[in-house]
Amino acid sequence: MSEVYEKKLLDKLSDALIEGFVKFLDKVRPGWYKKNKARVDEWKLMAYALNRSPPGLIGLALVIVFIVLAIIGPYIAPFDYDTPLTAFDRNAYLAPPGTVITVPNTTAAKFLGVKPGNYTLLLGSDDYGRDLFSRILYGARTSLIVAIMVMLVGPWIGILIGLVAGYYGGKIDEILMRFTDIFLAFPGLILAIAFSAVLPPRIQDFLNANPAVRQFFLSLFSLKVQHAGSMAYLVSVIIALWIVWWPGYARLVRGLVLSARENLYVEAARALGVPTRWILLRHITPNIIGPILVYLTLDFGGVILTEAGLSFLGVGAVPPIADWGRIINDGSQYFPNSWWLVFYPGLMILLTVLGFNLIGDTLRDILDPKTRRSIEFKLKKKKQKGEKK
Amino acid sequence: MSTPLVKVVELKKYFPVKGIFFTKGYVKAVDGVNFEIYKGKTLGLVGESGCGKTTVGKLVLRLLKPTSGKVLYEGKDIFKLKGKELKEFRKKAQMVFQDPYSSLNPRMTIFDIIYEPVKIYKIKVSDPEKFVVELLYSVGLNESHLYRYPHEFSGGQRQRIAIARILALNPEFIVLDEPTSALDVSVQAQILNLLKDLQKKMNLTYLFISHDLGVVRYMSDYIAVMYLGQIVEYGPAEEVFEKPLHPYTKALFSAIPVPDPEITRKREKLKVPGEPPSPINPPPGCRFHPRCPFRKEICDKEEPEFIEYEKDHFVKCHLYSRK
Amino acid sequence: MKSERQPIIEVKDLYVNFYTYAGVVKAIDGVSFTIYRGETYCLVGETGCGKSVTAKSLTKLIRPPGRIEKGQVLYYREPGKEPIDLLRLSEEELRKIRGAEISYIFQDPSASLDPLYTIGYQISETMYDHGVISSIKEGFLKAVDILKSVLMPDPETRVKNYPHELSGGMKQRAVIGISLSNNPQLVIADEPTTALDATVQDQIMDLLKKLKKEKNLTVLLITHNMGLVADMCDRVAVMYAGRIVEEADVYELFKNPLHPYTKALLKAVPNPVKKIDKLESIPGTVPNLIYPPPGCRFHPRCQYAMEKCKTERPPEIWVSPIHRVSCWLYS
Repeated sequence: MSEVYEKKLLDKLSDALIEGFVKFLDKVRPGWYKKNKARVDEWKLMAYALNRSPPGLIGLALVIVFIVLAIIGPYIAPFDYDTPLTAFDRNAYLAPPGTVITVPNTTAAKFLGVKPGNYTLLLGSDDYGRDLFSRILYGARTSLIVAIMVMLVGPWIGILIGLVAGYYGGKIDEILMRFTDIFLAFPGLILAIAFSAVLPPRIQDFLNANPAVRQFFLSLFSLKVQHAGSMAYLVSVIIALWIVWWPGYARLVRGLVLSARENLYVEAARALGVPTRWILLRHITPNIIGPILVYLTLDFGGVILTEAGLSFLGVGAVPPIADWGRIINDGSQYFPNSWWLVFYPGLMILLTVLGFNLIGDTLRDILDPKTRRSIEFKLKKKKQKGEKK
Repeated sequence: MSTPLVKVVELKKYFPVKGIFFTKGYVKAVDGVNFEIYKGKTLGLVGESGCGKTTVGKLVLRLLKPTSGKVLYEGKDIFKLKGKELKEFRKKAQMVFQDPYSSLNPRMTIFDIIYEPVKIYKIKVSDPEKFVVELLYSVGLNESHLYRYPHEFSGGQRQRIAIARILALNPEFIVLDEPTSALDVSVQAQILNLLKDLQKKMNLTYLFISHDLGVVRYMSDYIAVMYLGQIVEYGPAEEVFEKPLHPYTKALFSAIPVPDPEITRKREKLKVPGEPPSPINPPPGCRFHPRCPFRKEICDKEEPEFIEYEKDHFVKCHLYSRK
Repeated sequence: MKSERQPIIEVKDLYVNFYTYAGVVKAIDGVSFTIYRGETYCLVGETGCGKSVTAKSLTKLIRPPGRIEKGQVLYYREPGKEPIDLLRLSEEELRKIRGAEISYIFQDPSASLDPLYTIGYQISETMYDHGVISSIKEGFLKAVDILKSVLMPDPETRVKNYPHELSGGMKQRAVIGISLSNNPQLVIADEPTTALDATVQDQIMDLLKKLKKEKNLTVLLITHNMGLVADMCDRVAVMYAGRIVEEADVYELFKNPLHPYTKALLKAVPNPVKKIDKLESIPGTVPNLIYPPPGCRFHPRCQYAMEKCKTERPPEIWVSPIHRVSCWLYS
């Protein structure tokens, strides 16, 4: 079927990517392609639909840029997130974007690991003389890791609860949903503040007792050992977000399961004698994955936004950790004179969350078979040159 | 005469209607149903919507638990089966559903769909692909269909796939719930003929549920006419069609338009007013009495007995009681 | 007898295409027929043959991706006067005709009725929109009369009910009431009884027959049910894959079907009144209308197919004044 459409350059690219992936799968599981040819065709069609959706492509580009920056950021940043450049050059105090500073060849420079020379502060610096550009790159890493850690746990609690509640119904449903309601009612902000007040010392104790774990997280966040204490605050916020984040998924999945359960093929499976876990796994889950995936994508942006908001309020990313929300908070007192301290991190938050939103929306259109029509309609068929449209 | 394969005794199924604090009443979907089906034969179950025929179909396969009554399969009460015996029963008794457009999981390939029962019951198969392909051939499809998805197939083809899925278990007894109602006439004929062939080849026993009298007459050896949860007439198909006894049966037969203008415009019709009442509060006495043109004094007071008026031909109506 | 008949609708050379992502579906491919005043004309065929699309095309109810490519639908508002081509009218002009002069009854009454408004309101609304009454209140009074005319039990109560409070049969009566409230000349009924029980179906068909006589209606009935055709219709057109393959007086069609498809169709319908030994099925499946077969669209499934059938479209042949067929067997 995919041979029939007029292909653009992007299509050839997405085809190549998909085919590469398929070849890999076929090596790992021989015969996979033969059994899943129809599914691969579907993936190609979905890619074509994405290729023809400008917002989707923009979103994808933004997200890719974000992830790339988050991963390589700490390596390409000219300075560390906490390097006080004012120690070398007074001009580095609240320096506007484009300021050039000089780092002399002193022992201080050697101690802080900064090579002597002239540097252009691309985005300016803050009141500690920290390079904003570097901090923003580190901030990307912070945001990404926090988002991943929240999304790795939070939604899945909710999805599991939703599956069980939706499928079994009755009393189990009632109990689980009331339980969910309680958590939904939790004010996230208060919880985060409370956790930040109580948990960090205990987390620190735990990390000190397990240096390997501590090192692991420090590398993840790209933080220095001495800042492990600050990191504990970040972790406490992550834990708070787990608790706040799962109820939405429970509700969503329960609703999806309730309607999927009524499908005739589920009844047919029950009539065949298919055991319950099989039904949940094979019949219900694949058919509700679409909306869940869309929700997850949109939520990624949601977590980043929430985390930035909490940091802005002083909860979570504690100095000197570089976090976009935190930077805005620190810089807000110098606004509007040193506008760059608020503008650039704000812009990054905007673009990142926008990226996830755009991709999430496009994903929804692609995955929902009804709205997919409108996108597929734009796909022109090959050799229908004389045909009226 | 040997024992019937399926025997239903005083089967009842009431669904509670919930009020805010307590149960308001009961939907008496199935209210005292009795019949037998012998091996290799087809019982046609006809009636209008809400008469309970689908519920009977589900009860007979233990997809629902009855409020009271028994269903005996090979002499054993299916609701008392446990463990291995229950599994055996499930393999032997299967169902074909009405809507082929939604009875197949859209995310599974045809191979997965047909092979699923084999996996569940852990049946040993040496060559899965060959096994499934053979089943496809037996229902008139071929191997090119193996790894495709249901949405690529027509209604008739999907129904064949649903049948192939059941055949994987080598069943004995199949409940067919309006298997061709969603299909076109020409496709319907294909599926009905396929079902008949399979019945002959594999000595299958069918409970054929439908509201289409022509189809039921073509397929059935015996028929049972249901109204508001009860069987009002039962007998050999040919006999009931040629000489219907119960007024409802007569009305039902009159109501179905016959594809022949000579007959349908000139024949005598029994017209019956009103619509089937709600099964929550069935009328007292004979349930059909409010609409019956032959209503007598006794009809709203006493429920008629289910009597054998002629050999093998039963009817539940005061017109035929010996009193 | 023929000279007494006045045409009310004359469809000439209708072509309708659907532009879908998979290709162009040639749904209606040169359909022509005439409906005469006072008769019940039937379009019968299986799923996908185009009967519903044809019915909707008559008043340009086709939405994109569908498009009426060419053809004429001549509407004779008054017998003996000049007809107007409905396909050339503007949406405004058509809206005046729809519901007032030509009205529809669709298959599922639950879908045709708005669940948020009472039956009385919906009947009144149609009359109000066409200027027949000046207020909804007046409409309610008239609605009771209309419900009486469609034999709705307890009309004074029912007129204030919402659709979900009514049974299937009652809903369809209400829909018929709405449809006939402005005394149309032509009623197009698309599978009006498929969603109903057998005994209720019978009642509704009787009602339609009675109303037709009372109001001197012309009815276009769309159905796939051959029994219904035999019971209700005066003339029948059999459609297959977007074309009319045969048209005849109803008795003639059933007694003497000519087109191989019609013959096969009649043999495939299980007749409840006779014992049937074997139902004949038609081999193959309905063609894909994006790439329809050339020549006669039925030839891949026809046991009498000749070479000519595969390349040339058969013309319309009048075998008798009341019977035409499109098949090379009869040229």
